[in-house]
Amino acid sequence: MKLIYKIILPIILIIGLSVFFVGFLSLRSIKSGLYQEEFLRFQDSILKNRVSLDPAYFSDSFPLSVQNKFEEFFDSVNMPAIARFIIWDTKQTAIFSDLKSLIGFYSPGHKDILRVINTGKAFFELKSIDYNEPVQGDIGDFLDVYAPLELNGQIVGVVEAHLVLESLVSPVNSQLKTIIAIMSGGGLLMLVSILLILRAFVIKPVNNLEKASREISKGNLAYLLSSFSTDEIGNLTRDFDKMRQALKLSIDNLEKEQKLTLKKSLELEKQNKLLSETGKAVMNLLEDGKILEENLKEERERLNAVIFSMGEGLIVVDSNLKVILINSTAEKLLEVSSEKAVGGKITDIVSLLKGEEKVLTEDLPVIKTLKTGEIIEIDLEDNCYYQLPSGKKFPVIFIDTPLRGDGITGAVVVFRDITDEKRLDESKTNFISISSHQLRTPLTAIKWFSEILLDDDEKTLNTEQKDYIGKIAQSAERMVNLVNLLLQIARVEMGRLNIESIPVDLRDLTQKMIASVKNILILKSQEVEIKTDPSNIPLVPMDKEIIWQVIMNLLTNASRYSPVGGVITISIVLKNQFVEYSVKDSGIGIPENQKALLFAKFFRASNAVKAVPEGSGLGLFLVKSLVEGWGGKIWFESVEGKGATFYFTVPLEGVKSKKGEVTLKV
Amino acid sequence: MIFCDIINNMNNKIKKLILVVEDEPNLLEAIKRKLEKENVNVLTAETGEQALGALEKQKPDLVWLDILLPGINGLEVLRSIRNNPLLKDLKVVAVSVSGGDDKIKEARALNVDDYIIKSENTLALITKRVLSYL
Repeated sequence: MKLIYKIILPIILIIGLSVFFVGFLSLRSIKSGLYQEEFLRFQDSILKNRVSLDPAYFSDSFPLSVQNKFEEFFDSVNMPAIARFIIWDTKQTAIFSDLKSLIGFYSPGHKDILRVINTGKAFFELKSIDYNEPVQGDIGDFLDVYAPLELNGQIVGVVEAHLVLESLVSPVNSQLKTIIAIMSGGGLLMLVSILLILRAFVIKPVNNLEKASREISKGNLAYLLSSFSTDEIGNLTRDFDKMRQALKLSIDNLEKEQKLTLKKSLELEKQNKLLSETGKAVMNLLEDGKILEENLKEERERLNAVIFSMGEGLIVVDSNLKVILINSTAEKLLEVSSEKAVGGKITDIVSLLKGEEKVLTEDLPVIKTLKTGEIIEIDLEDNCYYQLPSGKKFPVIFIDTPLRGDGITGAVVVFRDITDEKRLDESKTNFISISSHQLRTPLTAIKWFSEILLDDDEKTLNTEQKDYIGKIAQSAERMVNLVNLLLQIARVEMGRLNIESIPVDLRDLTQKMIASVKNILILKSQEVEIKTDPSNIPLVPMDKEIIWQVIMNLLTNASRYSPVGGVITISIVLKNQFVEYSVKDSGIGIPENQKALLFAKFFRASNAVKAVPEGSGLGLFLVKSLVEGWGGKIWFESVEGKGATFYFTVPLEGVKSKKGEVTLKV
Repeated sequence: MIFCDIINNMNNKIKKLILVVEDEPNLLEAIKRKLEKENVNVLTAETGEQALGALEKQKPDLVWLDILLPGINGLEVLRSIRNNPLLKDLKVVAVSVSGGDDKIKEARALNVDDYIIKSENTLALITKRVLSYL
């Protein structure tokens, strides 16, 4: 509802109601004044005219003549508005009425008449038309007036008159209507002027404000608003305009920010796009991951199958030595069930012995693996045993491998019961040591008896016989050499050589060696030259016996295959990280087509067999094994018929000492 | 002749006694033959136990000791000799088929006078070397 209606309607209502009430109330007061006045006039008229009456008229008889007196009295009272006029006596009998039929009407207990008789005072009351009473035409409501007839100080009767109200009020009514009409006109005028004032000072500025707010709400923040009025609305308008300006400013800022935000959101969208692409990529990766996981699962199952079917015992421990996994071979060997072992410490199910001595927990290889991440391999030569809580023990080899996750999370121990290998190994060692004795003893006997025979002082043997015995002795000698070589090779191959590393002067060693084979060299008139570069070769930590064997083999070969009077040249050259040792001869050389096989076991070059039939084909094989054993290299250069040069290298750091069961020397 | 006899008697008187310990009978025989030819009296033992038994009865001038023996081996015989106050200065030459360093070292630690490897030498050379300790 518009503001104007909100203001106007109550005003109309208020004016209307005021007019109505004013009219009504004034009508009422005017009417009651009129009634009062009429009543007083009537009373006055009664009092004035009663003198014409005599108390005798009010006796029980109703003489006709009295009627005339009453008629006169009635006329003298004469009020134009009287519609009925009755004179009652004190016995409540109508003794006169303008309506003749009422004369003689007896109305005992008529309370209005009784009231007058009892109080002696007149009164009036308004009465609507009593249809029980006979009326003359439509005359409206009545004003009933009762007044006592007091003659000589005694109430002799009561006058009752019914005044027709209509006739009393009608002149007043028309006047009142005029007044109300004027009042209404004035109200209307007032209303219009209020309206105009409101319009000028309230409605219009409010409308302006409303329009402005509508415009602003539409977004037209540039809408100017002003007022010069100093009233509240003017203030409101100016405040509103201030608000608009503030709003405009903040919206402008907001827009700026919005632009920025938009820019940012565009970037964000870009990033989102990127992100969603990344997401897709991740999804793909996840899918790949799933496939991988499946593959992994398959792989794990396969691995489990391998672990549980493998012949070696396998135990996985965590960093606290707690058993995580144990395979069935390990269960069998350690006589423990997986249920019992898993979760417990590995040291509770097995202890490690080195030889006869128990290895302390802190010295266990697995501890070292857990600490350093080193892979530790314990082999046959380490002579280790596993001992069960029952006391049972068996020889073992094992390998400890770290499990790497976030750092070292555990270790895998794979072990094997090597009882059989150990037995085999022992029998092999026994074979070598026994054979070195058993094979050579009879050969020595042959040699020595041949020697005794050849030393024959009594000359019982002829030359031929002596020649035969000499051949027996020679063969026995070769046999001893062959057995020695075989035993040496067996020892090298077994990897059980005792290595005692001491600093070796290669030049000095070579000179001593040459001295030891002086007899052979003199026999063939051969000379050996030693060249060193630089002149003082550093000492190299080596096992003297081993390097002696190598050089001796090469030197005796050089002598053997070189002609009488040949020269053998030994060169010792210091290279970057090693010493290169070479033995050059002027011998038969090596046929091109046999070079590849020269270091093979039992191989002999065809020209060598021809030149020296008694060779074993084991010397170079042994030499190669020994050189490679210390981490050196061996090779040769040769042209058939023009000699050969054999080279080998010795690393400058030499070899480390190693405890073994056998020496190279047999 | 008388002079010769005197010399022979003197020789007999000063004839040295060597205990040869060798488990291989053939080798033992060869050694005995060779030593007797060199004018040395020879006592023989085929085992370490026999050797120790013989040493209880008679103190030789030298022991020719094989090292690899069944039962009590040569090194243990050597140790017994060195631990015996009556025998501890006895000359002992180890003559073994084996030239293993450890055995040589052990023998040297027990004050062996020499260590000779059988297969590397002729009997004549070994005999000469052993007799040099007399």
